[in-house]
Amino acid sequence: MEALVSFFSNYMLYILMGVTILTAVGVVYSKNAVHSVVALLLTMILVAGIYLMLDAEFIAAVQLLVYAGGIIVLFVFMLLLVALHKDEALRLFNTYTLISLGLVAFLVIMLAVVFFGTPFGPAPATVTNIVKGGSTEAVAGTLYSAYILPFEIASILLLVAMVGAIVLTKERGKS
Amino acid sequence: MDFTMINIVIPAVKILIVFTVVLLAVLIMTYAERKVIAFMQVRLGPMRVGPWGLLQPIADALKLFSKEDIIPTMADKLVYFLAPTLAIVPALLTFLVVPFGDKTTFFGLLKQPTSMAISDLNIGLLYILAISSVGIYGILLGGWSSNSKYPLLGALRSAAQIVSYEVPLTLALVGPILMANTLSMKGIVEAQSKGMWFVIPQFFGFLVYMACAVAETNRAPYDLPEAEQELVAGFHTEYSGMKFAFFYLAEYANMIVVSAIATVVFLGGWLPVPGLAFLHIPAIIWFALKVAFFLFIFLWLRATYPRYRYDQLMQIGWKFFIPVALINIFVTALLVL
Amino acid sequence: MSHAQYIPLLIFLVIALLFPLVTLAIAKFFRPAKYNKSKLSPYECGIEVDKEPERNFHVRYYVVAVIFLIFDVETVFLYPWAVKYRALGLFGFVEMAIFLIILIFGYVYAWKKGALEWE
Repeated sequence: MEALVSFFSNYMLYILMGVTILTAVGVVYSKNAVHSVVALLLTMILVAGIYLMLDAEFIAAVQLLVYAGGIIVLFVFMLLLVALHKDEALRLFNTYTLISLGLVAFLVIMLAVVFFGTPFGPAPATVTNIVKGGSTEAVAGTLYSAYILPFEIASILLLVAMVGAIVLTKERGKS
Repeated sequence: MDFTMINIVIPAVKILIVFTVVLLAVLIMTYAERKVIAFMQVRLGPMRVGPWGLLQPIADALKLFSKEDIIPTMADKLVYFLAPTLAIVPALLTFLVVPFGDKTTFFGLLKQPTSMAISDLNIGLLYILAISSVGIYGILLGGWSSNSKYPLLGALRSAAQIVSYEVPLTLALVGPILMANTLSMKGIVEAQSKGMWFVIPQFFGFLVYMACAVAETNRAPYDLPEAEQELVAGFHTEYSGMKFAFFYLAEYANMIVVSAIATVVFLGGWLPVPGLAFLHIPAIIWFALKVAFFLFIFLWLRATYPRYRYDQLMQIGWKFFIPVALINIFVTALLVL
Repeated sequence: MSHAQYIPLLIFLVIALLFPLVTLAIAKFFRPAKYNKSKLSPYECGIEVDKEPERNFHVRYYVVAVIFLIFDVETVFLYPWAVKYRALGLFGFVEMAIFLIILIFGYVYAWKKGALEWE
């Protein structure tokens, strides 16, 4: 039994990662938009599982709350709002092939830079010590002291998003 | 062996017990709902099945179990099947962190007492909010996949309502966390054992929480998603048999969960009522009594108030509860300082 | 082992997922299956169904979802702050006050523009 548990704690992360990639592929390849969104929802939930296996329980909860419980709702609402006919739906995703290829290439390069710049391996002793006190406190301890400026800027980012959404919908509605 | 016992066997037993208790509580709740509302309306309620109609919930369950499973021709079969599962699984999973009492040895069976919660997570309260935020897809996808106008409208309305009231609900819980300085359900109860219950210093937070909890569970007077006159039965119009039963079960399980959160966060969880500690009533009974009190309030509201109008419902959520909750956070933060 | 706390979650998840599947599978032996065309048609209060439901909903649902999302992120910042509040002290109060006041500007803007109305 103990062997089974240690097997899980060792390989669960990789199993989760594998399934996450499968559902992510499902998002891209399903023909039905709502099936895509359901696959995306599963992906988000699985990513929360990955965070959990990495001992980041607070981030896992946030992942569920914001991504699975918030952003996907927005996606579903969008699907319900925009009544697409089949041919329109096809054209929608095919117009900007070149631009999206460029964007994807840029994103891949950025990811590669981050990936090769990250020192992988066991975490330093200080980090594991913080995790033992619960990751919520660890996050709070650094976010509200060392990273105070990004935290305050985040509120401005949120403000811009809110104003932007209202301007887009309200001004259009008048004309 | 010890590791297996602590981390697998005991939790598995606890999960099965909690699972059974939740299902039984839902059965009792359906009976209590019909009886309580009947008495409030000077009727007798169910009387035919068993003495005083006591076997009515079992008859209902058997009926739903043996009902035909209808999948409308225009429905999206996969999503139509997935939706009730997406409603019931989060509703059940939230019970993972609910502390039904302090510690138990299962009547002396265990040498080391174990927590009455299945697992007392550090992020307890946030865990419940995170898991239950996924429950919305049961409604949204159930309504969409039926491909029929009433479920679609009902689901959209319901989702907009749940989303709107989730904001003041989470904001209302920040006050008690400021006082307890922990997200662990056990920690919040223990913080109240030293001082007074949070319902007194956090009275406004409590009121906002209760109002939003009723809206989150789609209960009267906020039961617009199921407004019969306009929407037939809302998002589950096309569902029948066991699939309908899962939506029903999820709704009642959610009611019990929000009542349990209210008990833990505002009413001191398993702690005895101040001054009544000499009675030596077990902690779990206190907990059950407090949850039952909140569930009774749900029924009382349903029997008393007429349904809101949708525009009023959305406005009161955004324009009244959110400012009150924000002011509550500011004042609490100042007082704690 | 640090994620031992979460083994019960995994067990519970498996049980919770099996519950609807097993119940539906067992019920299959007990429930009738006599289908006909009108029984399987969408519910329409008895009128014949002639087209799929209308899919053009008002844009305010989208606005509500966006504002919800922003407040959702805001509460995510509030929870760890509340946990650490006593340790952060006055500094914590001031930084959260700035954060919230910036967002309250957005809230007031939404109110003034009528995004919170449901006319």
